[in-house]
Amino acid sequence: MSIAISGTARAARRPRNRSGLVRFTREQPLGAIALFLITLFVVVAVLAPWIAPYDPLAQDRVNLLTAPGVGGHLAGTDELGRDVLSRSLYGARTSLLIAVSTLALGGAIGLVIGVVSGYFGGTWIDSALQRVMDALMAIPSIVLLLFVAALLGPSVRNTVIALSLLVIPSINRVARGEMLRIREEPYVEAARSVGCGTPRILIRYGLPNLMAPLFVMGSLLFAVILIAESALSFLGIGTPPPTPSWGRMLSEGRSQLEIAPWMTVVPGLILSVSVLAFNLLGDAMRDFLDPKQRR
Amino acid sequence: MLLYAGRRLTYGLLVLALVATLVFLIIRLIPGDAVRLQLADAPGVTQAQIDQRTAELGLDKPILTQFGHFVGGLVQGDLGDSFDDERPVTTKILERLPATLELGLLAILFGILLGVPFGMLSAIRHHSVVDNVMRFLAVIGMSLPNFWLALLLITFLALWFGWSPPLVYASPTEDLGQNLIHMLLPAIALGAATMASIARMLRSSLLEVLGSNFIRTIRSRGASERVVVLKHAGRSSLIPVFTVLGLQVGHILGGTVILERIFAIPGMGSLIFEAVGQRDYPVILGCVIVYGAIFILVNVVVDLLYAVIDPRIRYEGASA
Amino acid sequence: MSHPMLRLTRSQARTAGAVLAATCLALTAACGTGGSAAGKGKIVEDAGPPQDGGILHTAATADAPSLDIQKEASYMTHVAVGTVYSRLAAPKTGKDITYGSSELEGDLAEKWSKSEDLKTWTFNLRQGVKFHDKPPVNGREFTSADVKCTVDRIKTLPGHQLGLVAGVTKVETPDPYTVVFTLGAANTAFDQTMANPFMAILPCEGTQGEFNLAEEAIGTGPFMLKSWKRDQERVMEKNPDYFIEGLPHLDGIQTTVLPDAQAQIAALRSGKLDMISSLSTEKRQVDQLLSQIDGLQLRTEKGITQTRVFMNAQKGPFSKLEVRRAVAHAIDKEGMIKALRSGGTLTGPISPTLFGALPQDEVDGLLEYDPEKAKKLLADAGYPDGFSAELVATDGYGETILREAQWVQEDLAKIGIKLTIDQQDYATYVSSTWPETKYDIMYGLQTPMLTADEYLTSEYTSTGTRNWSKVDDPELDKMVAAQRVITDEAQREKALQDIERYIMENVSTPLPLYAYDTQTLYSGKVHDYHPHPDYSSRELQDVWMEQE
Repeated sequence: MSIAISGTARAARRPRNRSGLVRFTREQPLGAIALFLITLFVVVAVLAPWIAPYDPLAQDRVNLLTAPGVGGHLAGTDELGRDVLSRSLYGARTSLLIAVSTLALGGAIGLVIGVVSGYFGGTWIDSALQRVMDALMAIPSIVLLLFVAALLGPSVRNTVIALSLLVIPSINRVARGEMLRIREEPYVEAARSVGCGTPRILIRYGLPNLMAPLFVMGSLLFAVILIAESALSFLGIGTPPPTPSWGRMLSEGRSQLEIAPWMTVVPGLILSVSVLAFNLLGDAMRDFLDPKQRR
Repeated sequence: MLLYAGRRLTYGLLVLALVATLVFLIIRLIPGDAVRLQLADAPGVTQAQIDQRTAELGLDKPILTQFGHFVGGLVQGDLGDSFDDERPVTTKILERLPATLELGLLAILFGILLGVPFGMLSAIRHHSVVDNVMRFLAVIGMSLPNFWLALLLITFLALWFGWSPPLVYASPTEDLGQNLIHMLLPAIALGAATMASIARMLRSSLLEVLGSNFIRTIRSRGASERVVVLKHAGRSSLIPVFTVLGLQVGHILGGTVILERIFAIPGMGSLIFEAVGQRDYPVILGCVIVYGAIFILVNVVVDLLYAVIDPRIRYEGASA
Repeated sequence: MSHPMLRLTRSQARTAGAVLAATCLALTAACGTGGSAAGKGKIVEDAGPPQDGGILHTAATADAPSLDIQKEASYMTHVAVGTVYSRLAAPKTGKDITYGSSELEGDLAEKWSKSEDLKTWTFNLRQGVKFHDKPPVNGREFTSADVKCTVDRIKTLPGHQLGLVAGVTKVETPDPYTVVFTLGAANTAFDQTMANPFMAILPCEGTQGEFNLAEEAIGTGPFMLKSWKRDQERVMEKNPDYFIEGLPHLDGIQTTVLPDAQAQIAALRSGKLDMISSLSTEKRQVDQLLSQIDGLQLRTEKGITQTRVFMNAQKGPFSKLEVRRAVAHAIDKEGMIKALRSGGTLTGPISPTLFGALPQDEVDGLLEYDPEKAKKLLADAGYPDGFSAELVATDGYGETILREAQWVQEDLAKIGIKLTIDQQDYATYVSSTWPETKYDIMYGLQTPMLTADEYLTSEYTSTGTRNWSKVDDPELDKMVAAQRVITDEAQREKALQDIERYIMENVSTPLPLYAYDTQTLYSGKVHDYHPHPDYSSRELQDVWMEQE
């Protein structure tokens, strides 16, 4: 699952003025809605224990597989009598945890590889690192995930490790491209001539410039991770039961699709809307940060 | 140019070799051994019999010896024999490859047929309701997981219209009609994301071209917006669409694994799924190498075409 | 339709046939087909005299890994080629036979007799039985030599069937239609052994390697293998020379491999499948299908597959008997069946339909849901506050097993045993975790076996081939060995039941919970389907379909 980031995004500059958010809302209404949804998603994820009407693991054995509204379960229950709404809300927590850890882990590794590779652009270090990245990208993601998950067994931690392999090459690509560009900038040359050490140059001048394209990429990757996590769980190699996760809920409910659609429609909808929001936000940020697209 | 092509190909082979090594090592680390799995449901299996089978399969040798053996075969196009039915892996893959390629191509076709008009419409009516609807539709295409879309299609088409895809896969040469009907739903489920990507990419690249001086000049001469988009801007914006296709190959190949399974299509996806379940190392390895080869080949071709179209890209393209 | 159409030219006949067919169609439409009005899902018995013809379309969730019925232990293989082969004897099936009955009838053998000391068994074979007309066998006659070839081959292969014929010391073929087995020890039920689905009789050409048994199947059964596209479909066609006059009724059977349950249901709805079995056991799904598909028939059978809690008898907290017995009483099995299965029967180590099974009320008592008692047992074991452990389960058996594992998790939490679920893929589970006892507690299934002795010997004796919970009880070993030589049926039954009681009270691992019901849904035009749990699918020879 590779993501195309239009080459023009590299011309991005972080808007410095305070009214950035207002301007963003005016120029990118869809993006603003997405941002609102994402905020909602994060709030729900963080506050799930206080918002959710029930314990997501509690089995209400009097109300098994009941339709929405019956027995005080707003979105119905699953086969074990667990509250679908509470599980969906907690699912946001699981997804957020996995996505954030994945982006942190994969992003950090990808960033280091990309920055180092870009700094040494054209040398053997660069080519060696990039060939490994290319090899990682050449294996279809599901196949790669199938391997890693089968190797390590399903757990939240291992899902994060498996998904990180997806993130690393994409982040690496953005970081490297940006490094190659700023390496030639006069102020970096100047810093070098003054005697600044390599790491210092990287941290001082490299990272700040990377932030904008990384934000765009991060938002799009977030969407990819949400889908990949649900695919992994759907295949039975992601988040293990009974942890509430959207992918697991989809796979648990698939055999009941006809008779208990609420089991899948609720988490499926929330998942799709979340992915949608991150995609829209990424899209909008790219447009927003790219001056060429403003007519 | 020839030199560049040669370099790209060599580099592709190098990456492929890396893929093979990586996967070979990963597979050997997965717990669960092929021998016991084969005799799994059979009580009364003695250790001697397990040892004999292990020796037959060459699993008792050191991992380096196994690897050397594997590389030796690989150079001659021999991927070894399946642990499961002892048929050559190359044969097994060649049997399954056409279905996967067909599914992938149909998904791409679906993506192009819908994605291109969507993207164009979006760009022409920039920031209009149509644009927002199209963008929204495109992003929905990216947001619905393909396996989920597939299950919804299967279940509700049968529930509401009493229609289900044909049971048995027929190869295009056997019965083209049945084959295409069978491929319809999985191609839609798989192509939805491609459609979305193409529409998004086309929209943004068209907008870029439409804003350029060249187009402004044409427009100022009184050409209608339709003529501008279709005749002048369209052609140059199709190049980035091409890039999307190169990038989508990975996504499509990955998607075939789940979709072939749901729709009972005998492609490489179902082959590798079964192989992972049975720890059929040679088959897994073979499949991954072929998947990798397709991915790399497509990207090399995209790069080369790119270089032909726009020579300026040549230098940078080498790192893509 | 056997209407006299004498002295008509070919084109006249065709027209007449078409008119007749149209009339028949109109008539059926007017009268309504017999079954559809008679209540939802009801099985239509006595649908009239069987009609010949038609292809039965069925589905399988997975394909056979190979067609070699003896080398391959997977029941998928038995289901796949069971109708191609015949055995010497086979379990009777039919309308009046109880599901799972062990009553036998001759298959390739016409009759058989045993010697006084139960060590010599003589089978008299049918004459004039022909193998399928496929090279290299080419429809030659079946003789006693093929029986010998088969048994000799079985003895060279590892696996379950080897255990079955281990007692055979000699196979003699005094003439082409007689086979004499000499056994090392007395066996009261050697005919049952030869009726086991593993005992399919192969042609000598196959055992001698003239064709590949893993990819081709040539036998004497009611159906011939026409083609096999691995992981796609298996096509069977009628054996025109089948030795039972008038059978089979079907022209063929087409089995499609469809791993996804929703895809199977969709195909049943659209009429592309005539029969689906062991799908998701959700009752409401079945009810909905029954109410929506006209004439659809539902057959529910008491299954013989048991759900089990496997506990490590040697290591960890579950090595204490009291803890294992606490588990037995802590799980609400009835609730589980009601919530997650279409039906089921609590069971002891021997499945309830088999000879030697414990009386039902006794099983219910031994497995009674009693959390208070469980807590007390746990306290007796020295865990008044419970403990934590990992519960292994696999998704290889489908979603239901994982749900049940979560049910068990919740129930055990109530008495203080806090479990986290370790979900493993099937390969790891079946090839490593289970046989190597790499677990403290595990939830899963046991492959169904066909006799009491198979269960007891393989799972509960210290040297058993499936003793994967590390049971080591010399007393139990002695008891199991002793029952094997009891010839009196009543006495043997009592001995078997004593062993089961002993296991439930003193071993309690692998702990059986229940045998769940299996369901088959089939179209209203399919009749006389009387299955047997032995996976041989021989019963399909009696199935027929209404012709339009």
